Amino acid sequence: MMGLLLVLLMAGCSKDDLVPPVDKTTVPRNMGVFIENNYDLSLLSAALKKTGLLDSLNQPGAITLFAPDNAAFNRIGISTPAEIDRMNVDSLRFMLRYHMIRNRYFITTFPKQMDNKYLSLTGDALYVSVDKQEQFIKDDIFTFVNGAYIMTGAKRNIALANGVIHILAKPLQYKKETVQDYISKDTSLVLFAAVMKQFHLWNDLETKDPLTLFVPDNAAFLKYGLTAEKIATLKPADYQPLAFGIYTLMMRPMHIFSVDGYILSGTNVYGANMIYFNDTYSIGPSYMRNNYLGTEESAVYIGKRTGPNWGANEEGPAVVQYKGGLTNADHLCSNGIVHIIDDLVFNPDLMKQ
Amino acid sequence: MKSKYLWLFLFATALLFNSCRKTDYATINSPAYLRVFNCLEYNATLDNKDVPVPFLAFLVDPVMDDAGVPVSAAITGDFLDVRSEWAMPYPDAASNVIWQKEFPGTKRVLAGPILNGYDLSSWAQVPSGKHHIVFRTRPLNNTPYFNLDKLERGVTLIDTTIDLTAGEVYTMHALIAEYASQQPFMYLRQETFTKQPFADSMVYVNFYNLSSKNWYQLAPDEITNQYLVSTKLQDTMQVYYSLNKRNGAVLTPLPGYKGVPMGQIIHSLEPRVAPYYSFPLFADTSGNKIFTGNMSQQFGFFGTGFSPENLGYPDFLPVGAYAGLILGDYGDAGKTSYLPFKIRTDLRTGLIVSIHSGTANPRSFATVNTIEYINRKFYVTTIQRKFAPPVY
Repeated sequence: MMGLLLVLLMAGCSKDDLVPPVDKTTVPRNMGVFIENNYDLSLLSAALKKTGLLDSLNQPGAITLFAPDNAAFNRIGISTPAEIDRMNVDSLRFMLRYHMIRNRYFITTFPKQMDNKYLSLTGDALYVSVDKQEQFIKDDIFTFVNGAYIMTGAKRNIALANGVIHILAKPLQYKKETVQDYISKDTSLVLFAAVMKQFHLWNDLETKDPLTLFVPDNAAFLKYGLTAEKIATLKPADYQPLAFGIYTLMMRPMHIFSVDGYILSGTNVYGANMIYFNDTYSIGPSYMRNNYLGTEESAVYIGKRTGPNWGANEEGPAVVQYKGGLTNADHLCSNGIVHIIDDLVFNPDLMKQ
Repeated sequence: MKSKYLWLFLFATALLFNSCRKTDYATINSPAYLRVFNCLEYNATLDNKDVPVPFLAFLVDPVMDDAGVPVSAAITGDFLDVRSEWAMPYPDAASNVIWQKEFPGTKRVLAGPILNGYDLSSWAQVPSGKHHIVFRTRPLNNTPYFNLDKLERGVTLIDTTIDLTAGEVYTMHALIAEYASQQPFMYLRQETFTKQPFADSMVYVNFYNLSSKNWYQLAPDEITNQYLVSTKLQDTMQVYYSLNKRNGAVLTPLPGYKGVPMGQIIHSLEPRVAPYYSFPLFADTSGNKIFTGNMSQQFGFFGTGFSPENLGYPDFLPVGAYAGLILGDYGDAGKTSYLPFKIRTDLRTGLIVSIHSGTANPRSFATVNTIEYINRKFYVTTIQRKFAPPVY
């Protein structure tokens, strides 16, 4: 009897190792491995490889990467790895490092306000804006980096061993130069530069900080017969300051991304999404996203006040489009933001004084 | 027998552990009492979106690093949001919200005692003497201020020094000094209600207009899509009060308490206590003198030449001629040009505290109140007296 008890006792003491074997397939991978093995990120992967950054993304240390997927690259006209290969390595590396910030930031860790400033790995600031309006799925709250939409669902908060990835709807665009330099390097904006010089606004584009510019391209000026020769004959005194000052928002210290009007329209302040001039004209960037269709709509609306009522602009178009869509908005420079538009806001002939 | 020893042993152990418990009661020597409100209103528009959001961290005697970013502080009033329209007479102990409507709010601090019969539990004890006061902006999230990244620790809105006298009661506001420049400043008022000979059969109220300088001249008379008729107060307005018996939505003025002249509300940013006016606790003579009955208080603010007798339809009056405020079980809904301001205070009796005390449920108690008008908004602070605990 005693023997039996002893055996039972011994048997009862036997402890099986019940910890299941580690499932190697679910261990979070490093960011580099994740990007390399993701078809939707093949262009990003090619860019990271070309710049030698892919290895860095396999090292320990938490990084938050705002990752443009292939669709985002396609929007700025890059569709094959060969095109990436033709790019300048240094500027590409700078651009990619600008998409990364230190530490692990999930969407809910961004404060629910506009322009949360973070330093990217290049040492330059990027701005994360979070919409106040709740979405049906809490994690899907509208979030933007420098005006670029962070995709929802499985495309955000991708937690990996050494960081977090959020997929962007369009690549971030940052140039470490003044808005004046940005405009003078773009040959499709020479007429705008000529107008700024003619109206003595050009130097301010280098010194003032911050600025927000809505820059019409050459075609827009030509539409109104404003060739380089014609611009050289314009007399600033003949025009209201707003006629061409509107493109610099009268040099007001503002820094406005294409989605800021949308975020502010969710507040209960009437007309918070517009910028007002002399209580007569208003200009405001609009943005709409349809998450079911995955489409974005954006434009710049110009309003005019007659009596107590605000209506459409009478001295020019009521709606101006970004040239070639949203990818031509939100060019962040060191002293401001440049949005390229495809039409003049005012017909200069109607803005004479 | 054995188990008896075991129990004895357990009992001894339990005793041992219990006797080891030592409580260090926090004390502050010769404290002053301080309550802080953030009165910086903010509406984000494209025009001002780069302006720092006035969601504040209130720091007493902060230690700054070389770059001027605070790294620690003797006292921190974190998550200081814009004050609520009604500052309740006691902190809401059941609340576990992180964002605060005032300091100390629901933060666990050494609260003020019962001083001359007044419940100062909404005031924090602060060491008396000279202090360095800093109000910093902070991001709208739930991370405590000193856990934030240094980049996120905002900018200094107010940086000043104060000198607090031991045993005195202070109310501090973060206010806008001048409307055009929007420069904030600190306003520190040394309260006198604990020293005044107030009767407990009367309800006391005083009025401040703490609007910023030039606000009346520069602020818009109307804002599109907002109900704004008769919401601007001139620098000096006459105050009349009415007491109403309330039966649901039906208000019946109590006989003899309709449009009674009370005093003045004067615009001043000088931190000087305004005179207290009073109305009786049991104005309704049909009541039982224990519970005053469902009621609301109404205050009318009249410009020169206007009074309750000759007031026309407010929509047709010039700006600054009239404003009205009613207190009780009211939300934002149903504002009229006669009553453009409605504030939810005690649900049954408005400025009067009605609560289960002793065997009476409810029993009404007189209070001391401060009504502050700041840039088109009214804020009410109610201070209650000590009352007997309920007997069930």
